[in-house]
Amino acid sequence: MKSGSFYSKAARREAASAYLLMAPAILLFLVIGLFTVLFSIGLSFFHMGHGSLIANAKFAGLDNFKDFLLGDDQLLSESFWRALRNNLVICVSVVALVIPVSLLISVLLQNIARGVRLFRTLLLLPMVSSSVAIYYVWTGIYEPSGLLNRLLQAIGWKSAVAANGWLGELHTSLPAIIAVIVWGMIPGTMILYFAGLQTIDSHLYESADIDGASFGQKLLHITWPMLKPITVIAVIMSLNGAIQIFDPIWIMTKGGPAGSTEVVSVVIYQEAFVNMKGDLGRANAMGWTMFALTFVISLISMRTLKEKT
Amino acid sequence: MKKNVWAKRNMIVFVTAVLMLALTACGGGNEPGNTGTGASPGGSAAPKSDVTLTLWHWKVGFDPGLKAVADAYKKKTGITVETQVTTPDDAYTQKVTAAATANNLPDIYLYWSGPTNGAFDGRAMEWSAELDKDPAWKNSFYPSALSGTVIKQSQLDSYAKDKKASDWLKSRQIGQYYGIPIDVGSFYTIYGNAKLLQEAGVPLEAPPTVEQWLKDMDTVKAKTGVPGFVFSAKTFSVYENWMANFQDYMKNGPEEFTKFMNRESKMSDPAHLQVAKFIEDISRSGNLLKGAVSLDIDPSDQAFAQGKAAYTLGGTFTLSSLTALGMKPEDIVSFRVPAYEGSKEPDAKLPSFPLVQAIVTDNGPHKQEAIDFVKYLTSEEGMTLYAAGALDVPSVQLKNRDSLSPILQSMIGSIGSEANWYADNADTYNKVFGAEWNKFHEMKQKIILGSATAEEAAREFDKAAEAEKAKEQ
Amino acid sequence: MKRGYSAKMISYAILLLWSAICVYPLLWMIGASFKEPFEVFAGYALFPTGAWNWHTYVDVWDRMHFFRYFVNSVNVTFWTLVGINLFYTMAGFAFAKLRFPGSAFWFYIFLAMMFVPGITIMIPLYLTENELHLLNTHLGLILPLVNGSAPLAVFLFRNYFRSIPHEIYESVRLDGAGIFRTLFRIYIPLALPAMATITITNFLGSWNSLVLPMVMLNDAKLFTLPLAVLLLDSGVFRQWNVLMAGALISIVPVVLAFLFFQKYYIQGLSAGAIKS
Repeated sequence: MKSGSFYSKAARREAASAYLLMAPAILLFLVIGLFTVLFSIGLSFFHMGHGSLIANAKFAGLDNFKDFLLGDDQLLSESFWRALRNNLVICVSVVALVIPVSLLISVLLQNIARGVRLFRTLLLLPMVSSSVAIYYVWTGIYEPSGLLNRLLQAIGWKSAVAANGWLGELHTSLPAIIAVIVWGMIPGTMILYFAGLQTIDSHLYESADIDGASFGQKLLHITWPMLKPITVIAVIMSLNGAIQIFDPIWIMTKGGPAGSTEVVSVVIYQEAFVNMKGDLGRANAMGWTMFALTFVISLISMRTLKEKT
Repeated sequence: MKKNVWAKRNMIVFVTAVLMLALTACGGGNEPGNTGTGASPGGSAAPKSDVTLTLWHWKVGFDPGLKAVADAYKKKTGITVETQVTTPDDAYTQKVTAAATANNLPDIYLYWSGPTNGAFDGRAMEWSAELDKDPAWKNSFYPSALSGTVIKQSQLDSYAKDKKASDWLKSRQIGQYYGIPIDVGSFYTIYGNAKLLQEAGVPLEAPPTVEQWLKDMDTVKAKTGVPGFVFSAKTFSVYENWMANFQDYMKNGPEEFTKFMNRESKMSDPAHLQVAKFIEDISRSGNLLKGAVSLDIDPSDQAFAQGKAAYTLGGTFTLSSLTALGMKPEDIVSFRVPAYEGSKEPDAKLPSFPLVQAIVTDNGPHKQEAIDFVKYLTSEEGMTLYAAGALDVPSVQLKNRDSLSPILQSMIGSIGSEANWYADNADTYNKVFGAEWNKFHEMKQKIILGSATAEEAAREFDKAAEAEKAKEQ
Repeated sequence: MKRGYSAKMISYAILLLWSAICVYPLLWMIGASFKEPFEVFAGYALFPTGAWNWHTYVDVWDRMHFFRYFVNSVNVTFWTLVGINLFYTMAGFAFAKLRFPGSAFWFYIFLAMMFVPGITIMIPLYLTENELHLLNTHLGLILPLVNGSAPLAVFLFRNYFRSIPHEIYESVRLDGAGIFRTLFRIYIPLALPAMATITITNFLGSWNSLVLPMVMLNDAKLFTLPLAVLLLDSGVFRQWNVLMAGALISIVPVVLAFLFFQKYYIQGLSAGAIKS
């Protein structure tokens, strides 16, 4: 029974029920989320050094933004834009790799009869391990005499061996980091696809089989379209994760060598905590600029994906 | 069917929740982390007090030392001192910054050393009156410990030039202390693998010049195949602040060094080009361990301990790391970083500086007790307990070191007690943390990987220094 | 028939290869925890060449005061998950099924929260919690953790509820059930797979949360498990075997929970499949 005009009694009751249902979520947001967001947006317009009281922060207007966006602070601006380029490379690579691989693996899991539970547990393991320890393991794998180089030598591909380690060469460091990021993001995306795959009616597949559809055809014409909403959220989350990525890079390369793996979150972190002359207001300004960027990119992705019906 | 599942799930959830609440409500048992000092032993002689002081810090390794001092203090005065650790560094910084803003700081907190570091525009107590009241106490510190903590003209000058500095900072005065140093340390030390050196026939004493040292590295490589040097080329400031700045000071003397740090002299200048040339030399000659660019400090120490390089760079703390990594003290030689040929101050003594300071909150409820505790911590008795428990060099010159372990004694022995120009001018040599040096760090990595020359690196550095200089008022 | 067979073989091959890549780092960690400290990075073998040092685990277990920290972690994570599932099924249902002014606005607010930069949050959050006297409490951890998972939870629940045929809603309401009863009696049971998904996704985020507890808690009695692992790192020299052992000990409950929830997941799925 749909409600009638906007101000009808039923409509008002529906709205009241809706707000009652949303009350805990909204209340929580107002208490915990809103002040935090407003405060840190505000701080972007101030200068705040280490060991200063926030109450004594000096008003900066748009100075912080001009510093890294327009080059008023040459060194910071160079770092920022270079980091942004690295972030974009990571974003594109992550989305291009995580989505298809997650979907493929999830679909493959549907198709096999035995060992589903075992595989599923194994495949979710990257997510489970405590992040810090795992990144040290990967650092070891990438060392000059680490697992990756040894494997390459074992199969005879000597030219691919990185003499200074995969994290120590200028042109291999970013791909190596991207591999670790993708590896870590796939389990989370797989979980989303598991949930989505269950909502697809198996009758659809059965009738497609009767019509003689191949694996690829079923994937493209049934699975992919029906998983659209999941893909949308997966893409947005991957993009967001790729833009905000910090832990693997800080632990494995600290942005090196020579800034080849520096991303914006590292620049922000150094400005906020490492650099003794750092400005917390400027760090916040960079953070909120990234927020705006991520928002815009996500909107664009959502529109693009929705159009591709 | 659905309803049954739902009801059963309800029950499980409810029961678990009740158990959970019950368990968390239960206190007692082994209390980790906090000072678990029970009732003081002995009879009525032990003093009692209701006062509990809270001490915040971020160094997990120091906690045993601080707790030892707290325990001894409780026996003496009955006052409990609770240490609370927050790690890693950035979590600690955020916590202390937020607490300062909320006016919520604990009685005592540790912070990185520096004249107004962690003072939070007046939340920290000022110590010059206390220090003057007790000259014996004041004089027990290493001169460099205090000179690295007191406000000097150079600080006031840089606050005046900085548009971001707060009014409070700008109104500070010479001679003020906003914290008390609790330890000192030094860098500028080269450690050598005695076994490798002996095998190559290289003398174990300090080489007279950098040039000779490089020749020694070549000898080691020729005789044993092991590269000469390893250091963490991944971490900014290891090369720049642990050897390059001191070497430049030795080569050029105080005035020219100051000009260089103040961005008035260029690295492209022959007087300063060695900073970049050294990196180029050890990379081209194969004397730098391959992969140094991706080594953190710990892995770099490990590589040295495993005999993968003949020399490494470190500071006072490196010795304990190396022994923990399995090296025997008799297999380690150490000496101050060599000076370049023709240096103006080739015999400069190893400078030391304070690393961590204790700050008392100015408006804390137990300010006097906090002051007393800090004084006890930095007394002969307190510092002995602290140094042993934390394996850290105390900021106070201990009269009696006999109870300390040999390694600790050796670490303390390497600290010079006389003041020298370099140690007195921390503000100058700390300029090596400027943004133009970060640019150099990147160029250094490029030199190591062979995609830049020393001259190119020096040029990029000079450009960056220009840009930074333009920002000064 | 042949085609189907080789497709299965390829599937297994790919899955095995990928599983190997997923498992290797964890195996390395396990091996490292049984080695001596300087053996960890010395050689290339996955497992110790000499004797396996079991004593590390005993030592770490003692030093970690495991039980106390474990209970704390369970407490925080449990209530966080309860909060997330409760608050956002309610909100998701409202977004999915009810019409009301401001629905688009609030939906986008919740989504936008996902992009808020994490680095900027701690200090203002501390100030807020200071005013609310939530500092140094578990509730002070639970509330931000719940709020932080709003974006994904709201989106997923709304989507899931939308995918349930509207006829069910209409027939239940026609039978006279109010909105609340419809939600709690009918839709929530149907939403078990979605709830399991959200639970698994957020379990780790909450369990492994590091900086939030570190900054908000002072009392070591309240610390969670990951903090305990960090505190094992004495800083002077990193004992990798100890760190790995500690990390593994804190993972074990998570792995067990995973296995447990997988069972529920499948149970919920079969319950949900009846709907068609």
